Amino acid sequence: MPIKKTTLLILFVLFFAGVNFSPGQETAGSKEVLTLKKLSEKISYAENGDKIKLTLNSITRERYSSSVIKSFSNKSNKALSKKYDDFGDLTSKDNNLLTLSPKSKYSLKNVISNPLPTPEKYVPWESTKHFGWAVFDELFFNIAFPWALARFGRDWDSPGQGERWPFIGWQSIWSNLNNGWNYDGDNFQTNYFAHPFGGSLFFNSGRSNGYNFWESGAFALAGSFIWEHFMETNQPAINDWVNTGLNGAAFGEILYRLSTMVTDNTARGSHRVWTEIAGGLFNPVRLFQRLVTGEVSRVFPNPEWRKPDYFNLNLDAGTQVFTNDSSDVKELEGMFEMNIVYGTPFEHKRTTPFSHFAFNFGIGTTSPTVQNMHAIGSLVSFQISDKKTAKHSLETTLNYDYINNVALIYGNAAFVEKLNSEYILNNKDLRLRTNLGLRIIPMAATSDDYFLDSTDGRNYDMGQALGASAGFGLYKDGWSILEVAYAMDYLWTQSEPAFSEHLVQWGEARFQLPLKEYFVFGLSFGFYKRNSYYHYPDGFIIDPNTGQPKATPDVGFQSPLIRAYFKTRIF
Amino acid sequence: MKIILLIIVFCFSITGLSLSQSLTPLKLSDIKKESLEIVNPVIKAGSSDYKKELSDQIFVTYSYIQNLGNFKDYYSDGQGFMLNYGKYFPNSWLAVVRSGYFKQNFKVDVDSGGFNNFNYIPIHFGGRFYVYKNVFMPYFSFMNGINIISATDFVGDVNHDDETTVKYAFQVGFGFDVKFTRNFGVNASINYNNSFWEDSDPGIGQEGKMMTGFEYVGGLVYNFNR
Repeated sequence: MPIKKTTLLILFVLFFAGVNFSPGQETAGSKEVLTLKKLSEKISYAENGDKIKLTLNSITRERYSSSVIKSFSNKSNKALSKKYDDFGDLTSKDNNLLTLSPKSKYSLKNVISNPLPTPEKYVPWESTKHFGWAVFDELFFNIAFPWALARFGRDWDSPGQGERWPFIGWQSIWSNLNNGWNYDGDNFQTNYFAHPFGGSLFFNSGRSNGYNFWESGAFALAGSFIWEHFMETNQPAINDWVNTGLNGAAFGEILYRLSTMVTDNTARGSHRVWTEIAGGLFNPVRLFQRLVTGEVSRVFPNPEWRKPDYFNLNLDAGTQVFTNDSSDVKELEGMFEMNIVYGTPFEHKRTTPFSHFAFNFGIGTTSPTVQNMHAIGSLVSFQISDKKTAKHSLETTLNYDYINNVALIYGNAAFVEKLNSEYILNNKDLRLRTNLGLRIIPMAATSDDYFLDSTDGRNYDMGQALGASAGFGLYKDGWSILEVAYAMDYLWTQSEPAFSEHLVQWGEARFQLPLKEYFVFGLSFGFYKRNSYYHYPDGFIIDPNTGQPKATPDVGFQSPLIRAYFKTRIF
Repeated sequence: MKIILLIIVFCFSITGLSLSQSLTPLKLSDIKKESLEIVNPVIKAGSSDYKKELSDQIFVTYSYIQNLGNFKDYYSDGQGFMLNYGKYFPNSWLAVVRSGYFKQNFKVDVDSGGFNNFNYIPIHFGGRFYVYKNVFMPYFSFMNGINIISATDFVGDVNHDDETTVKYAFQVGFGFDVKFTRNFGVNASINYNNSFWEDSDPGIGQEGKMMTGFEYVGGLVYNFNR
């Protein structure tokens, strides 16, 4: 059954794709783009079209394959067909015609002086809003399909109602509406890693159909709301809703921008295929929409904002040491990180959300594998001053933090109000950047030393938090030479049992020595620190080994972090 | 419900008074007169002018809440009013902030487990998405924020402390505005409320009493024409 349904869905998608994969769709942008196909049409409509014969000069011959040139040289202009699309684009500017022979150039100029009516401008799908498709993507692509996979795509051999969450009905929906929100018992990875990625799909239901960041955020929140209330038998979890909605918006916008950056609407052939596949890996909903609309094979201008003013993707590998939270033993492990910086924080010409963002992703050689992810995306920013030697701006960012290593478990979705400053030092290439931030955190989570959810296994607390952050860095030639960052959050536990508060701090100082333009050696010294304050009622926590009530004193834990690594810049 | 009827009658009385007004286009110098100009839905519906009808607005609403779940076992229903301000954002969005006063009614036949006086002041923000902008303007809405809850006189336990607390509140719904003049209109909506009060916690034997319910809203709208 599940295989048949999956197959049907794939066929459904391919049907749309097949309809729209017809080759040779041309699009006029703001300036007239003249391909060989269009040129052929123009010549055939010209008064003396049958007398015009095009030949290639030597420069052009070098650029194109012999089979194309042979056909091009031997046939009359009326015979020119779409196969010559490989020839590429010609504009009506004379200098572009210089690649043709003088005789052809003369003839072409005559033809171009009497062009056919300009084709109707193509309106890219994402430049206008498509509510129907956005709702379709939200409800079917991101809700009904995954639910159906869960419901019919696996064997549910556990008889427990709580374990059979896709077995929904009117009764479960009504029960969820009656009971209202709760904090769920899912493990940390599910709540702070899987839900944000799920939310990015909801978000891109809107974003891939012409809606802006804020509007698409509503799609993420609405999609999560529908899922929580209608598609699970479990009581709706507010932590899921926040993590899916807010962190989903952050991930969704990052993935949308990366997808747009790697997809080239003007590319053709195999290059185009690969850019579409790459874009689809970043953003499957966008690929689906492009398949449906046929934009995967249509040639049209890229959006103006496709490539940011600054983009830096770098990878590093090294080792790190820190102390295990549970065993107090120092552990050494391998560490790999990817860092992306998109746009510059002091560029105020375009202040759309996430026109500047930074994303960090780290995996370690010990369990858990994915150990940290951080995303910082600019929502709005205001320039306070812009002088030659100093710039200051106020910025609101949407942050996502995921730390899951043996020293610290901490996750959040945060709004940060920041004061950013940049000072250009004596040497023009040397810049000092500072930031000071206030963190407002709708949903944070960190370890609880005593509580363990006996049903689902949750061993951490969730709630709202307030915090602060500060940092500075010295930058030269696109590399940071020194970076110091610190953040602290105070979390008031709201998930039951709500008998705790936590102060979480982490900081890091990085020194990087550029060895080559694209290669640096780095050393990092940092710490993770958690102070947890408990006020469980006497006898609330039972020691599983003795069966006796357990005391719950406050806990303070600190782990140093030392890293050595090599880093290389990819872009 | 009587109050809703009164609101509707009041609105009709305004539009009735303005029937004698002319249908000339709006002039700044004549803004007062224009504010009472009646809208002819037959002429205006679908016209390009009407695509611009969404504007900043102030509205006063009355709400009747039909409680759900365990909360309903203690508090039968509630009602209150709110003062709202809506800021228009192109092309279909209205950001809304609001505050007011609500009271929940403790069930007379319950002898323990709840407070005789249960009131709260909501401070909410959120938005509406208008799916159609015309004389009749349906929308979906989402609001969230905090409820400052004051609960006193616990029934069944004289030693139980009174409570003043702040809880997160959330609401989704749909409704519509109907503009009877360029400036005045009415609003009605049905919302699902889901606000924190007492979480369920099997560990301490606490059953959940989240403030869930359906809210029926009627109100008066004043639009600031752009």
